[in-house]
Amino acid sequence: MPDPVLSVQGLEIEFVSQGRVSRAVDGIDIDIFPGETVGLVGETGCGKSATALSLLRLIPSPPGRVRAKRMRFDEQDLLELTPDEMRRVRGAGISMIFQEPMTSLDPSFTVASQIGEVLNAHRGLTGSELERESLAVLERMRMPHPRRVLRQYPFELSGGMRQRVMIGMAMACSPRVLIADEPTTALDVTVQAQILALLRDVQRETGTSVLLITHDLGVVAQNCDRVYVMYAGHIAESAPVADLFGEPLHPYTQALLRAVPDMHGDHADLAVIPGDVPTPVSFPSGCRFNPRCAHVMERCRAVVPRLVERRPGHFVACYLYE
Amino acid sequence: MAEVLLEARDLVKHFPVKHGIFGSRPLRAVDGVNIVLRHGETLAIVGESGCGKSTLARLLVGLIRPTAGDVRFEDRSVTNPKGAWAHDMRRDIQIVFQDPYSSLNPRMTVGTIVERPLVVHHLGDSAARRQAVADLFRAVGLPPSFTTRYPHELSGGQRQRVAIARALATRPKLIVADEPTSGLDVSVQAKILNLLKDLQRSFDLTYVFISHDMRVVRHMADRVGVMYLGRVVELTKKQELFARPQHPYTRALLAAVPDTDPRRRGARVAVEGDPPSPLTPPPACRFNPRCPFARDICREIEPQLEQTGPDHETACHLVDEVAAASLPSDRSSPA
Repeated sequence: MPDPVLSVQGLEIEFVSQGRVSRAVDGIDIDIFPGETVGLVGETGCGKSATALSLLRLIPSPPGRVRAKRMRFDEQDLLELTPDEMRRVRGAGISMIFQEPMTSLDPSFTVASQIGEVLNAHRGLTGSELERESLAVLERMRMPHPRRVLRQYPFELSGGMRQRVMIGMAMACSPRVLIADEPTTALDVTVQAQILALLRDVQRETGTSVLLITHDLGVVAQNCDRVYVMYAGHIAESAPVADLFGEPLHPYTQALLRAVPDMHGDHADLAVIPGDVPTPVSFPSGCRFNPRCAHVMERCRAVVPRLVERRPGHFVACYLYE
Repeated sequence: MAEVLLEARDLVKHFPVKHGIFGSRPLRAVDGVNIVLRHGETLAIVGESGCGKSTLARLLVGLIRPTAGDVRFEDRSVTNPKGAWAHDMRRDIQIVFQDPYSSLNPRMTVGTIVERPLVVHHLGDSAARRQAVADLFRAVGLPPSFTTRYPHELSGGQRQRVAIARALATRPKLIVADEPTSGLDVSVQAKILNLLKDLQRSFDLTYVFISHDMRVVRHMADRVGVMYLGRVVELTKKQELFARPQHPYTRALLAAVPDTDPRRRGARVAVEGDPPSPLTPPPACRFNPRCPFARDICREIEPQLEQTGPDHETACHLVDEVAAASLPSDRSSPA
């Protein structure tokens, strides 16, 4: 197996607020291999977005604190880089797109000037070369009427078109890794289908690895090769997609899958998980799912279970399997 | 068949939108909708943003007045309510909004919020109301001790339970739920959906369930109306809609739903582009610019909702041709 392009071990993210420290992400490992699409799935507050931001060192400090045993990208340790070196990684090495492209595009500049800025900063393009490449960026995103869109402002575009612009900008410098944080959550379902298809095509053509962060298990099932399930700052389970959906091991994953209304079969009631998702200030000891788990045992309350490999590539952190 | 509870006839709602310095032009949010709702059923209205489904919800409960057409509830007008009915209809018809963060008054305890409808409608004295509020909290799965809390102290799911308890307070016959779970995590959504189903049985409720999510609609609905740019383009029983969708837009919507079975993967981009603005809907069939089947007639004559099968109505000139084509949702069968 090739080396991972991005490898994080023992990632911890803490936020300090009014003297209280809450650890949103508590010692997780994530590997992203060349050319694969990795899903990071979980509910609100599980730490998936903080994880994504930390990979680009975008967690503001204070109030945030990021530590890791290792955060390696392409032979470099991201935590050791100077701010200047980190700026060169962003965009050209690892780039990111967000849920709401309206807030990540500047409302007072045209699409041309925003794409142009990226191409100028990272690739040094100017003049007619810059213009040609800006147009090519939109064409690669299969943007309808790309010449007109270049002259337009973000508010003149639909949500789907804005996300195409964002993906185009993120891919403009051929990054090794694209982090997509809920890229289709704000979009209508027919537009979501278009954007996900675009991401798949771009990924296939460029070989870029994609880290897809989402709360939607359907989006994971349709788009990812491998998936990490996060719960309350821990990784509960990770597996190739077919294994995770075919035979989920962690009681949380199992419960989550049963809670989704699906498009097949008949079901009277959706399965529910008792209780609520805990917040970082109230994470329970031991396995963080234990107060809600139907299979809870004595030691689940005492000690955090380790991730163990139950089947090739299928890891689960649960005492049922130890 | 159960008796008709609510009927919407040729319902139209245009909002004036400023255009230029002097003029305004109409935004055709709802543009000729006919709906019959029967006692005890759940009618889901599904569509994407801008299709008019939330405007329809507000028209059905009489929160806004239609530009034309009428809504009748048990054969009395909701649009022009007369006499005591103008007050009483709000007891019989309730609404639950999408965002429980903005639909609950942050300065009131949730107990006061749930009690308000009882005060407004003079239902019981103060002791009876207090008892009723405690019962309502239990009915929606909240401990009665929560009544003294403020909305900001509750989670999103708990807030939506409060909004549901408030809607139930006057023992309504109809609840219109406008995207009641769309801001919630799936595990919370599952609880709210189950709760709504339980309450329907125990409180003998009729629902209009507004949603953009076909998976949720499939779980909740008895019948489904699909809206596109202010029009209902298909209306039928749930099983029929999912088994034999007739309108090309319905088929595209179904095909776009990401399946939670990774063995069923396939190309699912069934329509290109975005829905056009309801300010400038395309002429004739509003779906024609995005429709893979469109031809001249679709650009010339607006199709009307017509009977196309038993209990199945569709607004499409090409129903037979579309039915003959394979579904875009046909995916490679499980390996």
